[in-house]
Amino acid sequence: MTPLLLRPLCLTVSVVSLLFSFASHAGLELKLSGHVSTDIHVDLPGKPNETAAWMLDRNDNAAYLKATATYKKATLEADVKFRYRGFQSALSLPALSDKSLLDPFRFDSNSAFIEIRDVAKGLDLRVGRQVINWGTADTFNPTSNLNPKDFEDPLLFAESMGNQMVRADWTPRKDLTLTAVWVPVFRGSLLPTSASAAFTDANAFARAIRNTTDPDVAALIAAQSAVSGLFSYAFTSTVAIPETSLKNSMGAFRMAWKMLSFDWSASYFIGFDHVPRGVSSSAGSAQGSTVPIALGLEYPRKQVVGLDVSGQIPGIEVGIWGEVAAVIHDTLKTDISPGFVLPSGKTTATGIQDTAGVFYKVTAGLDYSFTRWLLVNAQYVRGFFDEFGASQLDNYVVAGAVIKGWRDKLEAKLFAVVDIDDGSHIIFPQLILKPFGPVEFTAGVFWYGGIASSKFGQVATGPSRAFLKLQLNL
Amino acid sequence: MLVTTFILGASILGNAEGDALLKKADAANNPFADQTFRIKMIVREADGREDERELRVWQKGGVKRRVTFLAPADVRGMSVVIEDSATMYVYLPAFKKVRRIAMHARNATFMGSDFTYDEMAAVRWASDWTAKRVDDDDGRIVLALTGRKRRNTHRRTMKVWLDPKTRLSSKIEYYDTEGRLKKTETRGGLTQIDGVTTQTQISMTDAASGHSTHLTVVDLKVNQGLGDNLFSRRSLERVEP
Repeated sequence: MTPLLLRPLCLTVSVVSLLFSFASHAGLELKLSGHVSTDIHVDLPGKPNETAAWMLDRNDNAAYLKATATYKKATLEADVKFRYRGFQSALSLPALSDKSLLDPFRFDSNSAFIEIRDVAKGLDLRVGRQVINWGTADTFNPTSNLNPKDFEDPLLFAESMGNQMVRADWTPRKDLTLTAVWVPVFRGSLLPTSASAAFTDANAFARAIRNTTDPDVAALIAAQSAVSGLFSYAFTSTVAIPETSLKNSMGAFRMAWKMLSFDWSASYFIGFDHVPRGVSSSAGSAQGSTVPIALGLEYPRKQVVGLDVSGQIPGIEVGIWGEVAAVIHDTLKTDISPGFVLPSGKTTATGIQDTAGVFYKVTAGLDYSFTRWLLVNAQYVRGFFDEFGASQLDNYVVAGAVIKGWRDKLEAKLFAVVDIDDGSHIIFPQLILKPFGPVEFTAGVFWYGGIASSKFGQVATGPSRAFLKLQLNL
Repeated sequence: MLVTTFILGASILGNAEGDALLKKADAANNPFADQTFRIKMIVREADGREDERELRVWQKGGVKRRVTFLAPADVRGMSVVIEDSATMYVYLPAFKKVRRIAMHARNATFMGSDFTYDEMAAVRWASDWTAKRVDDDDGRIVLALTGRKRRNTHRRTMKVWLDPKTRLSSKIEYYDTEGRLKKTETRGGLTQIDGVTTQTQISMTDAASGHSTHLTVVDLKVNQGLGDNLFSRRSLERVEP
């Protein structure tokens, strides 16, 4: 165990200790909740170059605890998730004496904050580790940019991870709220282990520079294709993290109001995207048939102007929502040093994917309950979570149905995401059973379909998987 | 057939007497400026097996209502705010987000019980239903109600039994669009709060399956001066109301 691993635990234990010390005060209301869960994923065959089929991908055993303590206008909230990974990572004899490698575990915490209500009339403050999700769309919220995402478990569909923030909400009148948020230090998203393929796989590379017209880059791709199979590549990568200066701290404002029976929000964010992009690739001298390649990654700066709306179509009761984010960015380019002289006579090519400007991410959707037990939901999405730059945006249809039965103890869900541009897709059926009391079983499949060069068919998205989860809610 | 004829007749012929009685029933069912209480809910299968749920409720006037789920554990912390008859929000702790719920979702089952969200939300009837006095039954006034708005077409008609003295509703029958009885609600557990008679027990029984849901109101407090902000979208984003 390293001090880094312990940090969230220390923070949460400190806050929980604080809660219990407060508990001696009269008038304090303390609430505890949590769950214990087991989560098993098995990789499924189907992708090109698949090597992980039928391997166990996840074998988690987790315990989650959340505590809130309220005293008059102040509330403290803290949570912690303790997770055994279930896979031995000790690969040397000395490591077999290290229990943290033999039986790896980690702590996560999404909340450890103090909320003070009505500091002044209509003014609330919340300071500490927290999650702030903005936007009215279902899951795909391009106007929500404050928290990093958890991409490690695809079943979570980019769940937000807590981050240290200062938040102020002012509600001068009932239907109008102004929010300001300051994020002192940037933190990146948690990427899946397959993410490295996004920078090393030839298909992913071609997809990333598909808008580049530079002849040197075209010659480079042709050369790479010509020697395909003759060389292997050894990648090393360096991620440039924004300096922890005031200049690099992030901020956002939002105004939420009601008009014409619809809920509206307008927002502005300035900071960084939470997913890094490749900005340089430099090949070294080949060692036999192995070529070393050094990758440079950076989190792009961005400003986002957002607008979202939700309500229902008058008369037919269909729920509708829309969300648009105008993302202002610098020039997006990748410097490539292939280790040989290019047709132009240079040794470095610059692949410009998008010049500085604006691109738009959009989500629009609707839902409707046809019966008490059948809910359907459909969305159009322009720009997936990880897509950045006009040339990188694809168009998607996300549709699903939820069927409930046996007094909500049985729930069948079927969701699909289809990339309209390349036909690749995700099919996500699952069955949730709550047979008695606090026990909950979930079983299903998360299936990626598409050719190797497609959005969901590429290696970088990871394998399809079947999953089984058992949770006991406390 | 008799029921269908009765229902159709009622739907065409809401009358002044019926509407006036319905307004009196609304006033009797909502005697307080605001209320807070907890609900202990027992969901009973036809074979007798039971599940328990618990809710905390804040209510203001005849429309505004906020419900926070206390148990079971898998829904604890989920909250619903009903601002008015057309606006409902839900806060889902797992997603840390407030979402607007369109009217169609009000027809969904409320926590696996025999109530729908709409039935849990309905505090006053007169604005959404038109009534006709159709019968007397064992000394009680019987009103036939027909939905005024399209949103009620999923549950075309109701029959409501009123106590002639207190005007409190003691029984409600819900019919589908074909005039078939779907569910029966009974209300009782009369108690006095601030000199006003109110009900603390409600049961809903499904006519087809026989399963039922029983609500018991506890810790009832009234006229505390609850503010409108408690029933807003913003309030759901707070950890505590």
